[in-house]
Amino acid sequence: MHETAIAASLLEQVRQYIAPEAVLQCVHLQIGRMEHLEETVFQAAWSAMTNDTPFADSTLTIEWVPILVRCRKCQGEYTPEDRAIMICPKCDSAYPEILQGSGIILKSLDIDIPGE
Amino acid sequence: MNIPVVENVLKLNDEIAAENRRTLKDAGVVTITLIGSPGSGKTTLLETTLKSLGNDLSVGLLTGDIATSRDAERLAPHSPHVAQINTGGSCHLDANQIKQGMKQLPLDKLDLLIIENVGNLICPVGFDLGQDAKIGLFSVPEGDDKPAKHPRIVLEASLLVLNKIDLIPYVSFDRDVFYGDLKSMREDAPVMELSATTGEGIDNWLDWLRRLADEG
Repeated sequence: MHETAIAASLLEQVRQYIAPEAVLQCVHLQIGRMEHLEETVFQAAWSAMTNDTPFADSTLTIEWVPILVRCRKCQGEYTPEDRAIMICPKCDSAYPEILQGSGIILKSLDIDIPGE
Repeated sequence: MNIPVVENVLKLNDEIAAENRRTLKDAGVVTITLIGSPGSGKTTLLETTLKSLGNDLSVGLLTGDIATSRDAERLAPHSPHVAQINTGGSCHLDANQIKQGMKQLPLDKLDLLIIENVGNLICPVGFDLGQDAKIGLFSVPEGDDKPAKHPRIVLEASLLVLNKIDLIPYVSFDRDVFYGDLKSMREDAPVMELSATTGEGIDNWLDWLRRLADEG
């Protein structure tokens, strides 16, 4: 259940950007497919975490970033179909260097400022 | 209105981890994190390690569990520098817990710090603690399919250890499956087989630790 810890971390981060008069509508995240995060669990964790906060009605959108691997043997780049099979389609070996697909990034926040 | 941010959500954890890494490096301490399932033999491996290392290296231990200080109690007879971290309910250690734990240890007296993470092969992998190396611990009774089911630790570990090899004759564990899956993910994955209870293979492990401590 590390989704809860990540949601807590996200909440602290979001607080820094939201002025008291602003209403948070949506949090846009970008998450790599290598990350151990399950979307429905994470959504539930965010709801639970924001329940007693001014962000209770906010939603999360997640843009999933595919894994991109560079083969250290033939230097070819590929996206593995399965995280557990990193075999290079060009040279049939598994010497992966993960170029993309890690990280949990807060991309942007949609807010509304009532009266504006 | 859209406010662009573009910031790592684990930024705070990563900043504290970087601070831990600097503190440990300045104190001349090499740090490893041991990551493995509940029952994979993390604490037993550490008991055997401490007993077998003798006075070669001065080792500090931070041991994480949701509850109890049982691991610290098991390790205390073998090292004067043991601290228990209770995570309350969290499935992994984070950098701030390590920062607090480090305050309980005399870093200037240590060569090596071993962090025993909460028993879990998934969550701990995503949280940097400030370590120099991650060790992924598998054990024979867990089954030969554990690497395939936990690719991230396979890809990120500096060393993978297969523990409890003395039990291979008694349980269903096919080395060909274990190594075949590893080969599909990381052909040059460094793997070490051992039994923390019989001592088989322990010398290789101790040499690896000594080398790491020397290089650090």
